[in-house]
Amino acid sequence: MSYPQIDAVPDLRAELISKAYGSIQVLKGISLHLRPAELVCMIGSSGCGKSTLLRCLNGLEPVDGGSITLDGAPVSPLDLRRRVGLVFQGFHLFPHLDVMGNLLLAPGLLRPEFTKEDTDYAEQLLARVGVSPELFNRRPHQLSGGQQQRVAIARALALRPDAVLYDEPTSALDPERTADVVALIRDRQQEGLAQIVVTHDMPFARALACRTIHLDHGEVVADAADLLTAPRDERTQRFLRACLA
Amino acid sequence: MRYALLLLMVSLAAREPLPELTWGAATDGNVPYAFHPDNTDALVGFEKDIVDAIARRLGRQPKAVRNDWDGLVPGVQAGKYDIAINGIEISDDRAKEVDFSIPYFKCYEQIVVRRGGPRPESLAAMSGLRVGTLGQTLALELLENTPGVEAVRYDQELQAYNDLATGRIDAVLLDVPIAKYYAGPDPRLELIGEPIGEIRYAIALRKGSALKAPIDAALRGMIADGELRRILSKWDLWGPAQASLYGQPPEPLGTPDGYLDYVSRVRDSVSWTEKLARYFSPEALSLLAKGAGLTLALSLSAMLLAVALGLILALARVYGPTPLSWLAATWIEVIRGTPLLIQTLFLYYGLPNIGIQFPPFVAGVLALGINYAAYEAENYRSGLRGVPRGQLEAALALGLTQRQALRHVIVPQALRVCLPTMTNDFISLLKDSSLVSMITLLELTGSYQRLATQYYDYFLLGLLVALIYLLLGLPFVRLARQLERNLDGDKAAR
Ligand SMILES: Nc1ncnc2c1ncn2[C@@H]1O[C@H](COP(=O)(O)OP(=O)(O)OP(=O)(O)O)[C@@H](O)[C@H]1O
Ligand SMILES: [Mg+2]
Repeated sequence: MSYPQIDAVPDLRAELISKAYGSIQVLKGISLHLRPAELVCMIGSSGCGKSTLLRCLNGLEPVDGGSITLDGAPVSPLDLRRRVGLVFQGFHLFPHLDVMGNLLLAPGLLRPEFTKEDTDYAEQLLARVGVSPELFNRRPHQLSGGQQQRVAIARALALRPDAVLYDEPTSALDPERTADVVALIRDRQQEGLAQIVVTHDMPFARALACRTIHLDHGEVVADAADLLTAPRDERTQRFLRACLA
Repeated sequence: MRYALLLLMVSLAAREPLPELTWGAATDGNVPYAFHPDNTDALVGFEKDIVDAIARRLGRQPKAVRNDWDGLVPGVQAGKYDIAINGIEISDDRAKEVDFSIPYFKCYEQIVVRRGGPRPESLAAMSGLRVGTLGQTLALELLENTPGVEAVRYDQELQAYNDLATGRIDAVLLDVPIAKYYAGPDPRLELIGEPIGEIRYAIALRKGSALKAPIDAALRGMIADGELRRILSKWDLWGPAQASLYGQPPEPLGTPDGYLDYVSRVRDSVSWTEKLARYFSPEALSLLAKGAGLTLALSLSAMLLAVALGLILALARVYGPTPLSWLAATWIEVIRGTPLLIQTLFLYYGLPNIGIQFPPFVAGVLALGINYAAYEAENYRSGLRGVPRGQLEAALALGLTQRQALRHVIVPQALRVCLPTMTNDFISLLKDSSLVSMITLLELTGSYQRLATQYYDYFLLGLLVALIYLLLGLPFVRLARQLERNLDGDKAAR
């Protein structure tokens, strides 16, 4: 199920973005560069701003300062949301639509040339995350937590975005299903998509074996390919020790 | 000879249709002024005969326009009909609002009591009693100015005399023709006492109407050649009072056919089975069916408007920019905070003053629709608020515009939550639609009133009409349940 579009995939760059909720400064000037086909893992303690960062990168949350560009050009929030997919920590599936309806809503509305190919692609995505066809016509409340999470992942990919942001995509999955998600992410990488995976799941993070960023109190404290195996920053070392304990 | 005949035929064929003379009257009950003696649209009555005669003399085609009695004078002002003729008394207050023709009838107020009850023979003797009458009449004014009298105001003559017969009130004071026709044939009631007050009926015209002079001339002609005397005699209303008004002999002219016909209809005492057979007569059923059809058409159109407008208001309130949201909130409060009856009367009688005029059906749909839209808006607002925030975010994060997100994600979920209340509102609207009988629409409740005053029976007909309302609402309740089940997607679960 390859869908090569490497030429079209731009790189995603965030410059010094900051974000506050009231008096709480959640993001304190974060810069990040994501090349096409690049996979980044992001870790950090609860409340450090990971979800907020993803929401800003997707254009859902307006930033207070800094800029987000695709291929060096500034983009409108709407364009950003269309080109950067986001898998929510809380899934947020549409309860009034069945599984297929959840996947096809956005493509149906946003692609004037919506075809059978899009339906096939949605079915392939579902198959890839292990959602069997007999579930396609179920409503979200008729699915298990893990099934819901996998549908949420497939939904974010159905519009064929240039980049995808996953917020704890394996929180409800067993190791076997987690392996499916790893495979899915690799596939997307083959297709040239840039991806960020926020996770607390250390085996999953290690399986991804990629560049890893440690976020702490709204700042990037470490960003390295071997961050999990050879942490240099003292705060990162402490965080990883806490994760193992 | 043949040439002359041809000429006559040509001139007949070429004659234009007569221009209409529209006249407003409250033709429900309203015996002997202008009323429906059976359940058809056919009208009879002494005022009907007078209008016909005037129209003939003016070379016009008379056309009756049914209107609530309280709204007759406003209707003249609003131009809903050319003239109003319906026992409208000449008074200083009214003369400020409309022009009057010369009077066509003169009479007094008549005391009617229950046999075996108190027998007040004068106004003063009514002190300490409960006395019924109609609103906006000289009788009401007289009663209210008599110390110790408790005046009870009715909308329908029949209701007043019914209450008198059953002992709810002690006397009724109303114009002689009403007393003669409603109380006269009733063995339980009795006409007593001296004539009270003096009333002159005249035709109400819009201020400065060009019709006043020709109508006055027609009336004078009818007085002079005895046509008016013949009409009033037919209804047994000719007597010394009329004679003095027109300077004519007091003896009636011709037999009182109209009166006799009416009395023979009323006097037939009717058993319950016969009553039932009457209600299921083709005329009664067709009147009720027409009424039910109008009620349904009104309610459906109004609900459609209420849903559409309510949704717009709710979306403006929840998702609109601040000024728009504030405007929607204020509008909702104003509409919810004022009675539907006032809104209806305002739309129909009030707006023509500033040049906006709607046909009755449109005014009814607008009044009901706008009123219910406010309730729907609040219903949808709580529905919209009830959709978790994550839903809007998920839709936006997928690249949908705000509008698409509302339309395809938020509104469908909110509607599911709102559906039970909507069903409730529709049933309630179906019943509230009876209010528009105030603005001349003969819907189900209006048909009930007309039949009840014709058959002197509010009881069995009431049960029948209640049943019809119930049957009208039922299919929609079932439809809503089905819709709820579909939205829940229960089919997929099985
Ligand atoms: N809408 C909001 N209003 C106010 N404060 C918020 C809002 N959303 C998040 N925050 C705060 O911002 C901070 C960062 O939240 P965020 O959800 O980004 O954390 P996180 O790193 O994703 O944590 P977790 O690992 O628990 O998901 C927290 O302190 C949180 O309380
Ligand atoms: Mg989070």
